[in-house]
Amino acid sequence: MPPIDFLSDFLSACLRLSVPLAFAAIGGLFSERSGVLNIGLEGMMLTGAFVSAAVALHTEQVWLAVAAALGVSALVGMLHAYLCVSLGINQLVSGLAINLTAAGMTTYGARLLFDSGTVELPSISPMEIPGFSQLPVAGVLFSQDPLFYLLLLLIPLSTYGLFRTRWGLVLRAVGNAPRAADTAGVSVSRVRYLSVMLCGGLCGIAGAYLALVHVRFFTEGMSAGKGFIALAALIFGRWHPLATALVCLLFGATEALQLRIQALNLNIPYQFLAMLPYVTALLALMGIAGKSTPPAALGLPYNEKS
Amino acid sequence: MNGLALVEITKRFGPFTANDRISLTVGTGTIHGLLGENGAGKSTLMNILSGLYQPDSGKILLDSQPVTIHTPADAIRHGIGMIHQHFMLVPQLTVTENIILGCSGGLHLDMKSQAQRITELSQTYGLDVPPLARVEDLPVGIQQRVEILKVLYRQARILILDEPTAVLAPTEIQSFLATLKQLASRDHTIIFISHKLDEVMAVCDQVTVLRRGQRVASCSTANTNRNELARLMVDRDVEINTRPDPQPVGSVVLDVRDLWIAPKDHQQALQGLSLQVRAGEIVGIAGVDGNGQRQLADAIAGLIPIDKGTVTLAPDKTVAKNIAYIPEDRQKQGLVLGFSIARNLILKAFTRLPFCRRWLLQREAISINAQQAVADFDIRTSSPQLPVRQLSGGNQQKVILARELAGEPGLIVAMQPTRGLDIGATAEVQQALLAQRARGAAILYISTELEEVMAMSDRLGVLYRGQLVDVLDAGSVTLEQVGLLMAGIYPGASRGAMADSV
Amino acid sequence: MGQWQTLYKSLVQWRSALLPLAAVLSALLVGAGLMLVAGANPLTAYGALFRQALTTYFGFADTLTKTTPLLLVSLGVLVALRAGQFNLGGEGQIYMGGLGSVLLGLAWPDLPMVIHLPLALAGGFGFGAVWGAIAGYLKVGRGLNEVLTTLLLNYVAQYLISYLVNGPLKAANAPSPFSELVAASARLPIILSKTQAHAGIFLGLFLAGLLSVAFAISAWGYRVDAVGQNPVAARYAGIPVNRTIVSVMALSGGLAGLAGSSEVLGLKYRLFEDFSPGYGFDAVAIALLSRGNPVAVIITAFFFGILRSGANVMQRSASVPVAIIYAIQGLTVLFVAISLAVDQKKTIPKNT
Repeated sequence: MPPIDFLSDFLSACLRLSVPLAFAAIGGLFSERSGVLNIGLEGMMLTGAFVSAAVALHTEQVWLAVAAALGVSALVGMLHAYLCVSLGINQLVSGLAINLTAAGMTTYGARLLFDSGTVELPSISPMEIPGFSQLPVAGVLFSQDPLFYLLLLLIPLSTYGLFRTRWGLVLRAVGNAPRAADTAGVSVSRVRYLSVMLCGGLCGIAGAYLALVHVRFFTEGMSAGKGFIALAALIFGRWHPLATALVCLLFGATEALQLRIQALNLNIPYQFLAMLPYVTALLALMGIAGKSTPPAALGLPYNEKS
Repeated sequence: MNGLALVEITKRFGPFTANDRISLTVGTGTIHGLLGENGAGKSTLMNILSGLYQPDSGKILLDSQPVTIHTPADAIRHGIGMIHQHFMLVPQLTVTENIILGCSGGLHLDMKSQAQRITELSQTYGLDVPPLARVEDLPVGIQQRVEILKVLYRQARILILDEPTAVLAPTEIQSFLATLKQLASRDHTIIFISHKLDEVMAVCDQVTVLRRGQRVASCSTANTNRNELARLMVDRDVEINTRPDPQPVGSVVLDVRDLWIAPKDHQQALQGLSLQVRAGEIVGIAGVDGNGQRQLADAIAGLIPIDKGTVTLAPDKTVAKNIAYIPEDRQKQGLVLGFSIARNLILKAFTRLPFCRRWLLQREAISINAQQAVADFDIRTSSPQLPVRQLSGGNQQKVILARELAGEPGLIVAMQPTRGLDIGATAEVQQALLAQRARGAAILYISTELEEVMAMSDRLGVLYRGQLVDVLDAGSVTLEQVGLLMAGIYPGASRGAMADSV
Repeated sequence: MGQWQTLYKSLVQWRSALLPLAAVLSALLVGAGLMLVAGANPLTAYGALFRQALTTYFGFADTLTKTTPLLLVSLGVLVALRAGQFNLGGEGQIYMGGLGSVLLGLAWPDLPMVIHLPLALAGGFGFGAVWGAIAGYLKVGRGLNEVLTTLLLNYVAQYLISYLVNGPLKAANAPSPFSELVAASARLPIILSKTQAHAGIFLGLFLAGLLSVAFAISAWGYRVDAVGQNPVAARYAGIPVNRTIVSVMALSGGLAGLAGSSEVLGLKYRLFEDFSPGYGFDAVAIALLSRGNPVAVIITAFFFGILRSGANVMQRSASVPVAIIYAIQGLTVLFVAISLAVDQKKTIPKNT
């Protein structure tokens, strides 16, 4: 394959593989910035994938499917918020419970709804931006589907929201010093509920993207650890939207690379390449250790005394 | 009637009554002192007023109108602002961000103009702060100003200050009290919570004394004196801070030479500290919190690595080498709350005889040890098998003492040993330590309570910015001298030491 | 009136045991609802499941077979939990354990069983222990939360084993990826004739008992609990917290490794790829349900074993997809989490 085409193809794959990671990671960012640890990203993504697949299959309306995925995953987020914020359960346990339940329920649901296991789904077609999309290599950036452009919008919006608005200030306060925020008149529970639900919604979009754009069918466990890689990206990106998204691009690239290298017939067993994203994530975590400080109140339940 | 009135406020926590039908009135534009020992109920009462707690019964009246304060937001709306003893600031945010947090306004934040408004506000009240600095980078005295500006920004008319001078050096206290008077003259009403009689007498117009959850007196400061108030505060003839009789000292037990510890995470570094503690003496370390006390204690106990210098124990090997460490935070650093009293007592010794033989715990020995400790240290509990979580603060501290003092340690490092304890427990802890001194132990007594550390010590060192600025004979030094040293003002000090004092 | 009061009192005392039970029942109830959605009869389904798994000879043997790895890996997760660590890497440690046992099981075929079998088991333990220790070391040395590291290590282990059984370890002329058979001297003996139930269960029961005793009366158990409940105070008391965490993570990984060993040395006598159907995650649910009690793990693991074992029959007789088991297991964790919160709210008295 000529180099230019290889590059375009590679870039295209990078983007497609990074988008779900980035949505999930930014969702996780909002949750964790408010102080709620969320290892349930995986489960929320899977839920989104399943819901979008089910709705798309039955209604043929892809955008309805995306909206449904967003809604249902936001509800799952609300469950996590309820467990962690209102009940004060260990946030790791809650996230794990969500992952396992989502895995179980979606597998069961898939067996019921998609009898033959993997069914081709209606998908979201790419949007071409005229003129720009003709550029060599970089043109790939301008012929992606709408969800990609949404992500591109989400990144600066999140950055602005987090650091330049009153709402972002409240979020950061709640995640670092909830007692201080409480005495300043902020409702810590409400902020946390909203953040975690937002997280759920974004993970739902990530899942919908996986099902409707990337793979175009639903398989059990199709999120395959992407939720955990998103968490690693969050830590490596120091809980900053732009850095996190770039790290997701990096992780997406390793997965894209893995698939391309196989095609190059370099005689490397595919398993080592398949490991690449996870090993990269581990190395990234090791490298950033000690220099990346999470929100100070992350993982600690806050008791509002009566 | 203009002003604030609390009527028959009662608050219970389970079987414990923190506030028992307390009533008090505060006139607008006055400074009202709320006096009482630890555990008397002052903080609880004020937490009710600021919306953190709900009273079980009673009313709050503002300008003769009853008001309900369910949340801190309600309190703010009624113009009540609380400046907590442990600041309610978000360390990772800037001064301006902290002050405007939670206030309504447009979505967009223009930090420049917000900072400008903060600067104007601070100039109005003479409380200078750097508006764009991160709070965690600021010294405690400045952080306190931010805390005060927070409530002033919200146009609080009633300011509640909880032990505000605990974090100030003696030299800073004067100007702080002057600021309070200035605020009062601008028609702010101030409630000043403290256990320090002199300060209350100096600045307050009226004073209310609480004891064991009840109001025992209310009067104007003009009509009373220090001794009368002291008598009202304390409920029994318990003496604390009694000066020990001088006794001969033995050999050096702790020898710290030129100790350097690097700064880490906004913690104070230690810079070339040298110190010696001999058997049978108490060396006190005074200083405002955050000047290196924790690092010194941890270094001596071998808990953190030392960058330069030496810490030697019992150089001539005459005294046993075990160290007792009474930590600052008994629940976080000293006890496993889920373990029983008996199990906590063996936390340091559980791998040795008689508590452990051939890797197995010896129930009998552990039980006997527990019974002995409960008796010796008067730990109030129905059974040594109860989880230590259920004990009061004073009893928890006694468990720690029993454990640490059990092995007849040669060196005792005591970090704030009476923090948060009521007067009875304080006396017991001090007595226990004095008894150790009589036995010949060397004691390093670190405390931010100046009166206490001056009274308990034979010799007194003052810690400022990680340096031991002087070690004096505690019997002959005055409060003023120590106060100056705590603020870094001593002969030969550079101008830089005065940088953040007002 | 007196009888009701005594009944109430005993209920309160048994609350610690009742809440997990309530959680399980709730999950089963929701599972029944899910079955109705699929158009199946829950009573038939559950009836078939429990009948098959508990009352038939082969069904019970199958239950034992599935309980064994669950028991072992759950003990591993439990040990880590008591030290305050969340080991979500059971899956990866199981695979590494399987690998270790296969390597030792294939070597030296002439060794007597008395030596070979313990050696092969030890190999599984060792490999699993190393995998667990990696996460432990990353936590104490680099401050990396073990949750994420153990999860990521799962994938690495899985792919590693996949590579090995597709490549270097692949049996000669094998139609699909698996290793050679391990030597007969390295196999766990069958305990119920004509079934696959093997002696691994005794290993699990023994270790559960041993851990139970250790936590109750040994200095080691005290140290692990102290570190788990308050590592700061433990450090101040001179307990080597970092060393304890790493060694407990190693033990945890080792126990999970033994689960892998039991599958390889007791069930298939070969290494396959993807031989664990999620035992590592079930283990977390089981450990949480057991409230830190090793003996309770036996009962809980057995329950999960029943679910897994009876699921196939349930599918045949009541037309419920096997996948519902996963849903029920997930729901169990959810309800356990809720029951934990309910319990905490009631047992921690308000402090002044």
